[in-house]
Amino acid sequence: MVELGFYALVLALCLSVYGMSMGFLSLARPQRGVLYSGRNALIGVSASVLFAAGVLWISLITHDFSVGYVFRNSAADMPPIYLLTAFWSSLEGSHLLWTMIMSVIVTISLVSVREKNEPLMPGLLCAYGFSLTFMTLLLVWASAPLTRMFPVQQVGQGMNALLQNPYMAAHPPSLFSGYCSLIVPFGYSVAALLRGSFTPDWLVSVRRWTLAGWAILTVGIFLGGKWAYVELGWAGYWAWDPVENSSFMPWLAGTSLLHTLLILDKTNRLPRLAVSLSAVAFVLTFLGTFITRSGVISSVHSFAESNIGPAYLTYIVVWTLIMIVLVAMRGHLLQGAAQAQTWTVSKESALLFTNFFLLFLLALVCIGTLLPLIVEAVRGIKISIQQPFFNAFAPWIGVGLVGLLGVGNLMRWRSGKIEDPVSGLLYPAIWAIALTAVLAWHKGLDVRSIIGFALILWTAFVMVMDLVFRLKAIRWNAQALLKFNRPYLGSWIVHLGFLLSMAGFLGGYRGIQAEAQLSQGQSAQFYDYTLTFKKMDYRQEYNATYAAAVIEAKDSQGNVAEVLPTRSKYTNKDEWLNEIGIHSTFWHDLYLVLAFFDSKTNQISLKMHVNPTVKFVWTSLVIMVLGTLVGLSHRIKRRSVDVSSNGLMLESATDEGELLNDALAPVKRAHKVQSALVISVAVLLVAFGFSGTAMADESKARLQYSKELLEIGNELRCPTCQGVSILESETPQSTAMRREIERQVAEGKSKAEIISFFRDRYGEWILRQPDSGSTFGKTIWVIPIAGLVLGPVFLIGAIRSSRRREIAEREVMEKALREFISARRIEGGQG
Amino acid sequence: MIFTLVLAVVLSLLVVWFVLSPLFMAENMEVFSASYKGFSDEVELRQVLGLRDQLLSRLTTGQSSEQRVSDLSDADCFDALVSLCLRLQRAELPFLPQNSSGANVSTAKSQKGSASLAALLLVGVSALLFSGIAMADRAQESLHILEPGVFLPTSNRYIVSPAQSEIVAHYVTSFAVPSSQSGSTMVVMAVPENLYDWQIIETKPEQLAKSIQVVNWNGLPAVMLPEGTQGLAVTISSDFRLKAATGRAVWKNSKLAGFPGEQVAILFEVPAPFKGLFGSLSENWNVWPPRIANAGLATQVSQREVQMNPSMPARRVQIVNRSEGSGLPFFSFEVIGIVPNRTPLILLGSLVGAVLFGVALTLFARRTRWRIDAPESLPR
Repeated sequence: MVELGFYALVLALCLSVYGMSMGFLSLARPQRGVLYSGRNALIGVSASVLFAAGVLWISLITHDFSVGYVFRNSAADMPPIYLLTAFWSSLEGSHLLWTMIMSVIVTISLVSVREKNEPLMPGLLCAYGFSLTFMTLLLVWASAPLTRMFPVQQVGQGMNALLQNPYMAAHPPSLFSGYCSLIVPFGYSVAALLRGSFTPDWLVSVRRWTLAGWAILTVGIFLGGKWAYVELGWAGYWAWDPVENSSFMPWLAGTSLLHTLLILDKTNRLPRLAVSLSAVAFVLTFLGTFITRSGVISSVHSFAESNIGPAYLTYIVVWTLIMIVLVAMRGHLLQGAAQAQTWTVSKESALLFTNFFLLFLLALVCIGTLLPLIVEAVRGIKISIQQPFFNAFAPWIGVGLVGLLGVGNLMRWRSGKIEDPVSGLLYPAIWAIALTAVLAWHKGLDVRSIIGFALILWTAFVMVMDLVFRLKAIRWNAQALLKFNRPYLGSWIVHLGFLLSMAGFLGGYRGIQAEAQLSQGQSAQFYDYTLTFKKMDYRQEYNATYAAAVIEAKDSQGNVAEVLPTRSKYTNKDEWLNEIGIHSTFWHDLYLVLAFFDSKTNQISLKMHVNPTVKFVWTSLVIMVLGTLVGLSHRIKRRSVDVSSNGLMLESATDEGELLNDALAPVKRAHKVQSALVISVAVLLVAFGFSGTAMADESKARLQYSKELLEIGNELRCPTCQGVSILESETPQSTAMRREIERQVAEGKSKAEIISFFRDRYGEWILRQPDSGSTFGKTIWVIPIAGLVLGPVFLIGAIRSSRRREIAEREVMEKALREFISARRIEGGQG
Repeated sequence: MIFTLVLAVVLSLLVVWFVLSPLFMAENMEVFSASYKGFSDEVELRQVLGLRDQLLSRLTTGQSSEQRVSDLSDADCFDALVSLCLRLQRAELPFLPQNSSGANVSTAKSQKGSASLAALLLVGVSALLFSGIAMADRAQESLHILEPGVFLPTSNRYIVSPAQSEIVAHYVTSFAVPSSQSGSTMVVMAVPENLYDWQIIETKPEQLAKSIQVVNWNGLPAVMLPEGTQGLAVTISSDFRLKAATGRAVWKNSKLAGFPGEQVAILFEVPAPFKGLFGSLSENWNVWPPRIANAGLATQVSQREVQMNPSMPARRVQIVNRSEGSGLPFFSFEVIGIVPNRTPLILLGSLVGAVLFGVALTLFARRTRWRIDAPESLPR
């Protein structure tokens, strides 16, 4: 069975090469037979890889430890569900999962090619075939999951204990599905470039697949964040570490692509940017995997220890070069390329600047992730670029994006006209300022929160007004909006989700934390709660032993909840791991970490957090996915066809024209009611979204650490963890460093002296952000700042330069045509 | 091996049929569409060319058959004409009508496709062997005289571990060097024929490893114990391999027969998910999992559970042993169900690829009919 699985992978490799070759062959002479043969070959790849995946799953379930991957990543005592998810718990399995999803998506994409997109088939086969060839080659050669291991062992080594979590079970498949969906827009872009033009349905297919991929990738990223939140114990969900960044980069490129496709659709501009972004998004999925899987994170020198790193790097370089050449040589052939780029203040300009902010953030994340690796490779020194560096820029980009969102939505295409600026912009501003002022006075918000909250609220109100204007324009016929403008409705909901997530992130700054040592029966006061340690509870389940502290949490209203912060120990890991106890309310999470327990004395050490608005971050995901589904559900086609007895098609009751006529009919009371309902739902969504942020309490300062320790500790990284500071880490090294800081603070040393002490001891690497005191550090800081300032200038300069070229080209053409017309007139005797 | 190959061939035939079937339909072998650089399709290109001609007609003759063109002012007509001509120029098409005889709509024949065959790389499989089982290493007074000065140990124990297309055996023998022997003593290893990669892993006493000499006796490995080892209890642990390219390893030795003592081989059973799927039929098939079969004369095969480590569950083993007693042959058996070499599978895959390419390219070359897109057919 395992041998057959291996053979299926060999077969998949052959079929991939064949499919790709048929694509190349068809570029010159497109024949359906050859194309369908190539298409069938790629469908065959999907079947073969599915078969191989089935074999690996069976091997895992039946504990066939003769398969090396099964031995290294599973054990007989694991819970059954994790035997299934062990499939993607390590490199080879993840690679097989990735290939499996990619081949399935390729199959769906190929069998659903629209008739008008058929001329793109040769290019699609080339792009898909090349990618699948690379993936299957790795499965046979460098990352083979079905390799036997002898002598056959009796007991498996088990899965990484940190991965035995429901969110981690779902995170990789969703992330890979998102990655793989991006192959479709990429394939269509390659095909369009090879063909030298778009097809009539190119945009429809690309937008649908990009939107679907973007939504799935968003789900994947959020699931990863949720896993970090419930498993790692530092009370956060995003640390800007390289693993997170590697999934965020394609997401940013995909988001930018979606906005560019909109500009292309409405104004026929930026076709080259659209195809380039589709390539960037796809290639970044591999760059991310290269970063996380090749071993470069631990050391740049370790990546060459396996074939995976160099293989990924080669693949990335090859595709990048191919795309650069294709865009340079054939990009100008695409419809809309190099045409007059007159960018006035308009909706497309707002989208263009949205793209600028997204791509700037992408460049920032790319620099922050790759620069430490490049510096280590080139200069041989280790540096760290972590959360403080990214957080220095990300909020400003957030402000730019949120600001553009509201105004851009109201603007018209090309003219940029705003229908009713007073109602559309001024009133929302007044409401937002008033509401924020009340909250600031009531809750004592700081300046950052006030600005952020006011801006987000204003944008949300502007969006509501935009919805009102739209309904008004179609005579309040909400039914027509729901039937014919679902893309708008979908994007409206997605953007509301985006605002909600922003508000959630903003609230995250205002969390509080404290630490308490408790004996059995003792209580501690924290925030609005009295936390009483009742007892320790021990249990054994499958391969893990759990030690849970039973904590009774009683709030000021007398509501009682039981929270179980737990530590777990797995049979294949010596350390105790965190299982967080979370009491989730509508407004905040009470987040308890069992930092330490003594089973003899029944004493525990608790780390307590209140995380306001965190629930809204998760809720924003649901809203964004909902919006995507609404957008994707839009399909203009006849839903039923009636045929007469002589074969002629009759008009259907659901004919679009009829519905459109209905939409333009005189205003009915029912329409007004429907519109009122739509607007009410929108207002409720907004109110729900921001109530959490509003209610988050900020009156209490952080309790756990002194101000000095907080300031200094936040700038020093944990020496043994990824992406967290010594404040968030519970490792012995971080604890020792915290004590050392407290000691030196007590001695009266300054922040600079203490940081200098640690830098001398550990090197530059211990700093979480580039040292602005050194020349090198200054350079790293200056690059993004210069980009943020000079980027728009460059953008405007490029647009003007393009305009000048266009005018010169036009002048030459005008001259040639005038001469031609004169000659024709003379010929015709009209001269 | 054969079973796996048969299944692989069946799978391949299905795939080959599925992939090649579209090529055998004649209507599928016609060029179906052409490439229109810069335009969505032929319809759009025709529309642009038609409109250009209408605009030119309007500007040169003052008339146009299109009402909407006739209604335009000269300046608007000219602007529109410039835009359309720029678009044609960017699509690398002649923008003026008199050149349109050369303005063929490219069928993209110039775009060369190149097929590249990816090299199939052999999967390297390393088979590591080590067993934690402690064998009894008690020296016994057991050296059978093969010929003067040449001895054969009578206590011979083997742990057999299947690997990819071979078996790896860990062999432990213990004996006492006869004190009556003068000079060096040759002890022949009681190992099967056709073994390879025999190497000593450990000796007891340890210092013996340096003075011991490995020699060949009738194609079998033997050790030459130096003078002064008489009366010494010696244990030699060694490893060797037997080929099983087709999934079957034969353990026999016709050169060694008629010596007393014990011969015991142990094979650890491995789980086989689908072992019971075909009932007893599958017992004789040479398919995974590895097991002992075809035991020879005076050779018994039994099964039992052994507890190797108190913290681990007991493991099932197959034990092969030969009855004690002189005059009996060297024990013989086969290990079947060994994972065969993957090279034939890779070769089969390559063959499938070659068939696909061969058929496709042959049909492509024979049945292709070129469609010439006559530029004259386009509206001027």
